[in-house]
Amino acid sequence: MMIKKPELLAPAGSLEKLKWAIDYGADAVYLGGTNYSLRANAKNFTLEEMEKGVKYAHSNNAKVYVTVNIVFHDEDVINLGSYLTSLQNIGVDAIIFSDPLVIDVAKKYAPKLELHLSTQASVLNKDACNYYVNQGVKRVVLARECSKNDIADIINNTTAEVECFIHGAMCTNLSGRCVLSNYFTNRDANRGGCCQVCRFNFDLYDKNDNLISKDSNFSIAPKDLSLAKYIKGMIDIGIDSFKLEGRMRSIYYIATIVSTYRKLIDMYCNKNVDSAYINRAIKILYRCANRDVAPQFFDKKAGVNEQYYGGRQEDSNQDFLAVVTDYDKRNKELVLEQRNYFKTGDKVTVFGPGMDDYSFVIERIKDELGNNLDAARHPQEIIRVKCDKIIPKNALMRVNFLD
Amino acid sequence: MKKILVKVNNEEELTYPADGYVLGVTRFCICFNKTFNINEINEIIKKNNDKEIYVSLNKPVFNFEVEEYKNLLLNLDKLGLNGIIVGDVAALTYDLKTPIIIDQLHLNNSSLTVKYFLNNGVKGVFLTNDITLDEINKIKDENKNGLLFKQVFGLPHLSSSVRSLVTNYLSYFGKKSNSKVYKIKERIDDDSYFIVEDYFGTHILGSKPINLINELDAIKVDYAIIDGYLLDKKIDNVLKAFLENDVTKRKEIDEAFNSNEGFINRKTIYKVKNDD
Repeated sequence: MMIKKPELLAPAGSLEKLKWAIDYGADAVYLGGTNYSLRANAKNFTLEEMEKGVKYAHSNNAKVYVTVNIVFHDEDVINLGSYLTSLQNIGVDAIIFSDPLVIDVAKKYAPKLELHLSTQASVLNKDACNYYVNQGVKRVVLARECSKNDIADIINNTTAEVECFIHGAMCTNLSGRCVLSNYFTNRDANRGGCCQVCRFNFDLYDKNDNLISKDSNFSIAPKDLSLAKYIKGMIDIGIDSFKLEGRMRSIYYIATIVSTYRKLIDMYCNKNVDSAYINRAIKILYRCANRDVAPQFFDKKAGVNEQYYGGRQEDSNQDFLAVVTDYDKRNKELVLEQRNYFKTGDKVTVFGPGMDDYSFVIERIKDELGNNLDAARHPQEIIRVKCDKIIPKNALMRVNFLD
Repeated sequence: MKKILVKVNNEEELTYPADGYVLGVTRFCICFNKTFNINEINEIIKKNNDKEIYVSLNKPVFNFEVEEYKNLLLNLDKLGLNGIIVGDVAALTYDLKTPIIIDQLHLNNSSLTVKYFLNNGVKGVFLTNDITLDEINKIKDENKNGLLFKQVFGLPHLSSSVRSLVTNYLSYFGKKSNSKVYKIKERIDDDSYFIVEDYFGTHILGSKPINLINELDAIKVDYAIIDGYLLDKKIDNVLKAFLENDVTKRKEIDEAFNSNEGFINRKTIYKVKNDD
């Protein structure tokens, strides 16, 4: 039986990140414009940047989806029609929306734009899915609370393409059905202002105001999602698109998760399963996240082990050491732009588009003038390290944590 | 002339002299203290033929429940209800004859969204608590053919999670509690927010009830809802004040329930820094 290969859909928080995501193997990227997107306080894309992104993506056989996923108030609707027309004109492949008014506006102003329903609409069942199909929606991003059985049954009973999140931060609450941010900070959760109240610490009381959480904070914060262990199962049930969360994450994070899931998907679809690589991939993905990860609702209802209970939730990660800007064949040296401290004697790994991971020990570090250094200490400093293997530009160097 | 409905949280409230009642349907509604099955709903309709009776299935529906949901709606459709309030668009695919009111908690905030639903088989829309009086009135001006429903008194819903957040916490730390209702307090803020668990998961509600008696005349909705969910005092006097549109009772109500106006005169923000 032919295996349907799912799309790998990556976040693109900027034009630079869009290129990294595509270079590292994404089939499609999603991004937000300066308005109408739920990451209101991110850099986001101007129309000119979007046009450049679309050209770059299409020239690399990748697609671009634009989020128009706020829950609109009347004041937000201004210029939406002309904006959608512009998206259609610059060749955007689809918009991702949650408010159904977008269906009407898109039909009028941009009828060729494909409509993808956002997870913000929290579609949990096949009949809701089919409702939106009848409204002209091509793809539904299912609620992250759907189980494998739910997803399989929905796929078997709808003509919609089905997209599911496979990796990244989770909401504690059902998407779109949470306005904690509005009430705690006056910042509108469903218009891109969410301040993540679900990551605050609380005191818990019973109804009679007796403190229950005397010695331990009450927290409702969820761990991140990772379905790295369930890729085969997700391919088997026929999910059309695997979505990675993280429009506000670093290029290192994007490159790592995109390249790792790319290899996992290709491996399963080509029936060339390497269990050693799967174990390595899981370690890479788990380490790359700055929080603990869990499969959340995919294999069972998320329970005790899928939450945090106070304490630090985010660890800063200094694994990202440098960007490869060139390879000097004559001197067999990598030219690097430094990101985090490393020194001679350290074992590092280089990974990049179209190459297998390559690990080696740093024998020598030189600055731009050729002076020997005992360590690379300065972010963005251009340095050179001895490396016998030819490494492509834009590969990344990280701490070797697997050997 | 707008009508006043009571969202029924106990049997006694069915004796209150409202224009009608909103009944929660067992296992398919959230944030009702008392729920009813189809036979009980049928009896209530028979006993209250001078009242408008709405039922609420205001929760998103899991895939495993969807057949039961459909059958339940088809049966409710036969009862002669004034309307069925639904939280899941799946209901719009069942060709129901009873007027359908859509209530997606926080998703219906604009004139065009309401217009969209009115053009797609819905008779009315339950507006969110997250918009201002001016926004509500513009929605009505743009949608005179549809019915608008709005909570005017009671604790606002803030969030719903499928997770059992309190049970998980108690289990993790080996704590025990017999409480059905909890409160959470953020350390830099004195407000206590209600948190409750049910078969769906966990819901967080506001720290203070909203009280829109001052706005009752001005607010252009067709149905104003009074809700005593989780409040420790009876709402009969609140209802009386709303039925009589007695704005002089505002202070008395606010003092009794520690209520406020919510977002009715206050806009939320969402851009907190420049893109650069």
